[in-house]
Amino acid sequence: MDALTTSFIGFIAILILAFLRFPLALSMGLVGVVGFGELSGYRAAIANLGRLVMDLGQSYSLSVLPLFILMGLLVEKGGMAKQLYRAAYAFLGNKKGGLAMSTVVACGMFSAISGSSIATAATMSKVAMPEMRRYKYADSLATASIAAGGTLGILIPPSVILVIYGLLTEQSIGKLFMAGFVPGVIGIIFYTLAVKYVVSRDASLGPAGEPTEWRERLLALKDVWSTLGLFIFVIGGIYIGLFSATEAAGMGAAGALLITFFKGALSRSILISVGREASLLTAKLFALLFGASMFSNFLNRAGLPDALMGVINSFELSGIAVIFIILIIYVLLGCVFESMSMILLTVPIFAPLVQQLGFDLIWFGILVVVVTEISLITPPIGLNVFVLKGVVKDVSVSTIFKGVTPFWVADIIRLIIITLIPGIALFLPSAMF
Amino acid sequence: MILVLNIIERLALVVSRFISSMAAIVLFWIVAVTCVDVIGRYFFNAPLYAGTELIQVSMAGVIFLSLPAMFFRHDHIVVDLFPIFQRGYLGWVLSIIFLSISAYCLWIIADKTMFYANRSFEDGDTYEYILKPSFINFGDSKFAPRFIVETFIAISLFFTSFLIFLRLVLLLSKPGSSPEINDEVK
Repeated sequence: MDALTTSFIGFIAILILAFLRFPLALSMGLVGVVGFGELSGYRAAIANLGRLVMDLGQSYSLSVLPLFILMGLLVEKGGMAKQLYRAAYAFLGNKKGGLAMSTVVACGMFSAISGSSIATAATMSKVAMPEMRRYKYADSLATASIAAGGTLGILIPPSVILVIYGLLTEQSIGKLFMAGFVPGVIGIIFYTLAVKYVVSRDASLGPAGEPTEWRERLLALKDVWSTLGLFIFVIGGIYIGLFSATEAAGMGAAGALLITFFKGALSRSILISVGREASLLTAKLFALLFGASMFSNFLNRAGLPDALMGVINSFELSGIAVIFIILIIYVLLGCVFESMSMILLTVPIFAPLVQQLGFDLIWFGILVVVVTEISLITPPIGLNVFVLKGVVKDVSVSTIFKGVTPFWVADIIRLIIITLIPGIALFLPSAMF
Repeated sequence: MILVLNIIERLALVVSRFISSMAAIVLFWIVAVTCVDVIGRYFFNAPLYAGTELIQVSMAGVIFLSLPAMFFRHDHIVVDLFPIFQRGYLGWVLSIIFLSISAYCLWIIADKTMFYANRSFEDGDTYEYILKPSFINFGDSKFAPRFIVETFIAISLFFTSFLIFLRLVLLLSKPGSSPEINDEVK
């Protein structure tokens, strides 16, 4: 059996197991062991998995994961989402669609610290939705701005998904964080333009709020300085070479701990519950990493990267054409897979191929994350849409999906721009100290 | 019989919650170690001795103290595209298959990691920087032996496998029930 057929069977096996609701970690690990076992013997496969569990389970560089997760959870508990929203509203609230724009900007800032799209969407929906309802915003625009704004969480650093991508492809996590920054800011701008477009067609969908005086604006900014300071401290520290990503995560978690404490939102029970939640999330991600690494070892052992390269050469496709094909596959997969699963399943297949084609894996990582963001608001799975539906129960899923369409289009345009102009993503990492 | 199983379930829940609380403490310990290392390096020109290895060891603590709780709570990342596979007898049968495979796989991995821990013990493998505590009487080296953490990882995996087996027995005793536990961490 050739490499392509073997890998294809493995991939289909994972899909079947995953759709049967087998945990993804087990599905990937099992297929990895069986595939590797059939090619090199089961003794070698089990030895490989055992060593992998030992090594990944004691990895220094992977400590960045629980630390950033902890930082994000602490920021959530600290009630910083409300203050960020108030600050964004003070500047944008008096414009048509201003509350939706404020939501997008606040989502961008909150996600910069929390690192999780789902957490951003869930938290911001509780803060922004009542305000938008108060000003009689259309449910479609209100929910869509939160669902779309929430997707920024996995691109604007620090991002858990970028860490996972960095570990799978052995790329610098610091450089990935830097590369995600400008596309993330472009995302905020494009989403704001999407809101502007929606209200320009029908102003009643997003009426203007009350204007805020400059004094109040400055007061609102005063409330968020600590959160913005934490972001600048963590990301700036990585950028100027003060910390490694792991050290930045540790310092960021300590900073978030201090901010939450001084805001009076930290009790012993919250501390323990946040710690437990972060540890359990870490265990979940590591179980996935064990499975994904084993699956990746199987694909490499089967010789998939070389086989895929052979196929591309036989079709005489250009490099950028291959990238666009990969992105289309991601958009299609995004219709049925949630973000983390999609990245863990596909990056081991595509990253070696992209590298062989001579592309920068940091740039490709940003493309993968942007396309994954799109999957978060793409029907029928669109995880962020369902998170919203869970919080705002009286709005139908179809209303949210309908409202999300302009944001989805904005995302596709952003994806094409970043694909055609790699410098947008690679400018900051190349200027790092 | 059902009463005994319920008591065992409660006991396993308490134990898994206790060890996940320990994982939380280890996580805060990692934060402290990182801060002491960075602050020591920049302000006192004295980074924490063996800081990197301490974090490596602590990472094993966070992950392998949380893993049993995660498996016992059936708290996994799954693709929820077809709810039909979650509900009723079909969901119950699939869960039994999943739990059986999980328990077996975890046992095999635990067995292999225990083999590595034994080999590490026989070879006298040690850390490069972490010093051996005075109460450990192992070999001539002044550095801490690696087999302790490796054995801990193996024990955690054995325990996880046992908890999955326990969940399997509990599920078999309640035909048609769901394996998920609504035990929010408080």
